[in-house]
Amino acid sequence: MRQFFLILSLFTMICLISYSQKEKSGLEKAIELSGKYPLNDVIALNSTVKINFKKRKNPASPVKIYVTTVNKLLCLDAKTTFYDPFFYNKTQKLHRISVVNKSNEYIRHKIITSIYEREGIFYDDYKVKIVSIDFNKKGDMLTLLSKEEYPDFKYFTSVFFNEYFPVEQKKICIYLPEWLDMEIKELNFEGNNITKSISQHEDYTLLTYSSTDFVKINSAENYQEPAFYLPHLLFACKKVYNMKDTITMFDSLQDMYTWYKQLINEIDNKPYMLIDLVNNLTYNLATDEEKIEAIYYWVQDNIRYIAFEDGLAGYKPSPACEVYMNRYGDCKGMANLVKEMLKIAGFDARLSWIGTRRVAYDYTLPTIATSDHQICTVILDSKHIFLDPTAKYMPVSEHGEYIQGKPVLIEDGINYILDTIPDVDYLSDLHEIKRRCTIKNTDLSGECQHSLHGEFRQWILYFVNYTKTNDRNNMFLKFVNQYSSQGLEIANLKTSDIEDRKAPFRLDYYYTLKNAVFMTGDDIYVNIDIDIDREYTTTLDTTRIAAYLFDFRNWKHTINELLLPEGYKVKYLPDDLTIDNDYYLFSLKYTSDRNKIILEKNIIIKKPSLPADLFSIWNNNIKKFREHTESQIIFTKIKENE
Amino acid sequence: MNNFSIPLIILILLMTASYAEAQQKPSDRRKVKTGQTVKPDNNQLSESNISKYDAIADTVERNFLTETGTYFMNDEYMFSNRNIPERWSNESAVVLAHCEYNDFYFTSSFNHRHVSRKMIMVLDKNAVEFFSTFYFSTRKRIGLRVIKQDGTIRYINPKSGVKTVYQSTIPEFFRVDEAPDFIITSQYFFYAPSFGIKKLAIPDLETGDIIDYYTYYVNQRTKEAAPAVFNPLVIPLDMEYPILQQQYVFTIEKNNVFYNLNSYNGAPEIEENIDEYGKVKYTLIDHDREKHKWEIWSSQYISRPYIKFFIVHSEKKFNDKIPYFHGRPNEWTNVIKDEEVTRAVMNSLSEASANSMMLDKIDNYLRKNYLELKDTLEFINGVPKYFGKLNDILLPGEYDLFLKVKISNGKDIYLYPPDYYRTAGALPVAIGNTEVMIIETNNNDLSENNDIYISDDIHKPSDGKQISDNNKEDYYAPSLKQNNFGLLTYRTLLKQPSYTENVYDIKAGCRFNENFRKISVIKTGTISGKLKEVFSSEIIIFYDFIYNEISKYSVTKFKKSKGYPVDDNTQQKIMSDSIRLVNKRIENRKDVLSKKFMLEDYKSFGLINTGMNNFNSYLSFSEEYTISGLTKKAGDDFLFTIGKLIEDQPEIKNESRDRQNDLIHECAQSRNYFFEIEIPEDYRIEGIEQLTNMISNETGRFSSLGTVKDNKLILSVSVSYNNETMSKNNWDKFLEILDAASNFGKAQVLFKKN
Repeated sequence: MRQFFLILSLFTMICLISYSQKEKSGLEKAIELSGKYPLNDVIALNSTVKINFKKRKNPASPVKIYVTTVNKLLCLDAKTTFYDPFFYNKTQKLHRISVVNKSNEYIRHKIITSIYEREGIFYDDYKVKIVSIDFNKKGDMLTLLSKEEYPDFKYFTSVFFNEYFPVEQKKICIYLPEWLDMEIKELNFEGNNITKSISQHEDYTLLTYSSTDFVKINSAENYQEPAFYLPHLLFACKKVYNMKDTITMFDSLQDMYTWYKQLINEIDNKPYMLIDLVNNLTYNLATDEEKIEAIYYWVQDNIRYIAFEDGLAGYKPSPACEVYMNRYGDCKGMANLVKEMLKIAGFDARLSWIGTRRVAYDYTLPTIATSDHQICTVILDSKHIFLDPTAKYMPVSEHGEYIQGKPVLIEDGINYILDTIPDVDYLSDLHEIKRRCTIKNTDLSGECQHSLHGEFRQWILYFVNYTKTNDRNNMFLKFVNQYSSQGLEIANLKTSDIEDRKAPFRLDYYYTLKNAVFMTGDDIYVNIDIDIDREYTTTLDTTRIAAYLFDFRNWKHTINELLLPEGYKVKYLPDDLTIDNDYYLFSLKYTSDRNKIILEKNIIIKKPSLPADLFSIWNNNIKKFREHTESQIIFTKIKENE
Repeated sequence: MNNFSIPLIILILLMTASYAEAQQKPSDRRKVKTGQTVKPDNNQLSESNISKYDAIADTVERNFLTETGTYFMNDEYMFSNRNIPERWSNESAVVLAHCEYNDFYFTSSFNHRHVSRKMIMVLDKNAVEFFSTFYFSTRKRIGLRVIKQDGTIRYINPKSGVKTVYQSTIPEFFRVDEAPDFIITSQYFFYAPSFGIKKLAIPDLETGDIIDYYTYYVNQRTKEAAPAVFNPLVIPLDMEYPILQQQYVFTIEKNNVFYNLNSYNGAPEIEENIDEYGKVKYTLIDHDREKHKWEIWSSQYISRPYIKFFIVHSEKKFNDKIPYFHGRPNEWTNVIKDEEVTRAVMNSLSEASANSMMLDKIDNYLRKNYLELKDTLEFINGVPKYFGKLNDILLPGEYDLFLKVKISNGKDIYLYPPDYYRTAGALPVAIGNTEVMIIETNNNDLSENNDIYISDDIHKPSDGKQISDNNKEDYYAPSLKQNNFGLLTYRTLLKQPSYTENVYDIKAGCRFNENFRKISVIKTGTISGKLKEVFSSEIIIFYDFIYNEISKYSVTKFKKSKGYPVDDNTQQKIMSDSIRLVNKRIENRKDVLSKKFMLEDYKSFGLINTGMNNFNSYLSFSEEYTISGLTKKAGDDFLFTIGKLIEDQPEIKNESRDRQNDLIHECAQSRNYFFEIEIPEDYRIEGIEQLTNMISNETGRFSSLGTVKDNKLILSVSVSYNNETMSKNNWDKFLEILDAASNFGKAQVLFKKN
């Protein structure tokens, strides 16, 4: 008996000790982790995601998916309100969001529900529930639970390890039933030390992924989408095995295409409403190319991009007649209108699905996450001509960086064709600047010609045409000053045709840069490179992990010519410089002629993105380049006896 | 989920949570009737559905014609004029006609019916794009049609609009259109998001088309409310696009109503008539109004033509207690008399009003700072200079109330509620050299108390983080007695500090590093007078305010409402947030400097004095940092753009050199810069003579002087704006000063190797 009491006492003591340790552990942990997360009020000590599957009788979607998330949150600061957003749309249901304390008692919290608008989308069925939890003191721990349901397998595509707050330990558990064939792609696992374990159970297989230290999801300007660099799982539900039969979902790309095709087959385009328009546009045009251009450009110019993302409507194009009558549509509606108009004109035009540069996946896994855009493909003489009418002022033969090199799924009856959008290099997107100037007192003045090609041309044509008519001159002045030193005075500004999307866009003017020349004694100091090159000389944050996205690959080629001031000779020319690697090239080359100095400058962005691990090299290089571009030429007076 | 801008989203959504309602069914958006009789797209539409569709389209058209016929039957002459003057042919769009009726009448409640119609011709692609997304508030009835160039008309079903979140990106054009929802605050208009916002995609809009739309809205107040008040209206007559014709009508049923109405800044006068139902009607008719043009150093209240309107209904027994300006019941008030202002101010000091709380806080501050106080207090009612003048007062909230206290040394000090951007004793920047109204009193009943009170109207720290949402309870001090206020009222001008008292003074030592690319700067800034308020947001943080108080009074415990102490967690949170802001200030300073220089390193910041405790104390600080980008290599020599060391001076570009309005500055001021730059060994300076400039006239002064002494290049620069306000007639003279200061930014000297 005594022994029993001894054991009981010991047990009680142990319990008390461990209880008191538990009581302390929140604050201790908070003190310990405050240094690790100085900018965060709340982190998750543990975050567990469980994914379960349930069979449905609906043959169109024979499986529904449940995602349960449990986040054990720790407050690192005194008295904090913590917010966590849950996004959902018509394709998912948010069943439950609850908050409990250590004793599993429910804690009061606020949930704010609102519509959520994504940039560029006119109407979006996305909503957001923001859970707001009050923490009273440092070290408080609360558990946030949520459960989501995907009634249709198609819309369950991925699960990320990172959250909107830092996570110390993360676990993703997938309870894969034996009746389900699912492919899981592990992406961006490198460097994250994620372990995977598989355990077989009676009627399911448990896959567990776990790891530690996940930073919070962040965003900034020119960020690459997180799917490109954050670890996550991509899912494709392939088959459901029943007792008597097997239901195929997206077992292959063909299955996914069949679903896409079924959606477009349901559209009543009423093409008869477009016949007069097409006839008017193509009347008297001799060649196929001219006809394609006429139709494509009409849609670019007359149909406004207004996107409605609403359940199935996010995947099914609006009828061509509706887009035509409304004069607006989203990418699908506009592509569908181009296709119908081209068909009326006698062309073999097809709808095509594509993932833009925002999409990290290709078509190797059949999931709708692979595409976020639709275009039209014309097959002419066995060649594919890709037309994206959302790209205003883009000529037929050119494509934006956002789709270049991306795989495209082209409709072909019950089958599909897989092709790739041509990938052109920086040579196509050229901004050429030629200046000829002289020194007048302390000013530099002369003439300048800009010639813009490719996306440079498309960009300026769009802006000039969509700027208020009476603000266009100001817009050009801003454009010029954006590229040149502050305070450039402009006169006689002339442009080429602002509707011509094929020829290079020309911008010519006379300029004066006041106080650009420094004179002392017999010497003149001047820098003839008046460009600022701000867009290329941004210092990048070396702590960020996402690559930097350039708008597009491009080449800025500048030739500055300066006539030698009369009675002067060159005393000093700055050194040439070339910085060249796989991603970019910066170069400066000075040449001296009998009566002029020529500075040739090249800035080439060879690849559309710069990986984060190259940021510090980039920062050093742009600094070096900037210093060289500011170097001064020195002229000195020719002495009488020379 | 592709977009991960979560903090921003959370902020926006928290602000707009009230709009989270069920979404419009997408199918609704196709129910429009067109001039070309387009049918719905659904190929499975049955005959009965087609009939239904036609019925809806007919209803949309019928509603438009009925409502515009009812409310604008006498205005057809305005809406039939489509002739745009030649000078507007290059405009993006022109408002052909705008008509707005504000009808105030009584049923079982006090009602405001607002009916507005606007007709806009879109003239370029920019306007097509702009008007293609049309915003309106959900509480309004709206009708909309597009009149094509060939005369065909397409009626738009407003039910096809979709809900959107309220956000600042909604163009001002549509926000102004919601005039009754604008309410005026002490500084600016803001959009009261007490309702949902919808947006509509306008179909088939092309250049040359006309958008014709009306809105209808009835707002109600309970008659018994004492008083029943509608939000004041401030309606600018000039907008983003020129206006061919516009008309504003206010109809008022005289039933114990007090109403203030007037037009300002060159707006046409308002005419009074009696309408056919015996109601009094006020009309303003305006035409050929040019679009609004923004100008630097201006304010919309003193430059834009606009209408102000305010109405209150009160049962007779409450008339004397209405805490707003008003004249006699049922009579048009277009100017507020001084005695009326005094009465309203006194009423506003009644218990539980905002002004009463202000008084409490001032009381607390008086005790802390001016215990020797023996003399009289005066209330000063001044109109913030950006609003206009005393004679322009018409609406509640258009004045700033504060106290003038004569202290024992005979000096006057001015007291606002404590605020960490303000200096006790100083006249605020907003109160300029226009007349103010003095309301004398003789209260000196100040009780003893040694607690520090945290005001809930303390400005947010500059990182946008308030002390905590949970701490937003009322923290205020016990009440100052209000027995003897309002004895005498008169107008006067307050003595304003001159440009020699409002001074921003920078002294810095600079040294080049080995390769002359970088410059280390050790700087001291001293700021005095009204400029302390201007610069404090860049320098002072909430932490300084708290510690300024703590160090002065040795108090460690904060108190809240009624003097109860805050709980430990709140106290801890206030301290923890304050300390975080110290780091944030370093980041803020880096941001400020990075806008001007290539900042290589920021070594230290030291606050020497907050300058908060009285007007004559200085706000002073020191900092040490390294910058680059000011030197350019030239062989062994280097050019130094020394002019860039001073603050950026405003550069007036060509399009802004013609001035339409008088100028209004923060205050008359001087900014002085003194730099000592060490000349590296083996180098000499050339071109120093170019640093010497001097220009001075009645508007201001710019001077610069470069000298070499003790192997140091010494640069002194001074810029003064002599006056707080300036006639546009002096603009050319002022431009001479501005241009000289701006050009100095390019000034260079050569460091030549010996």
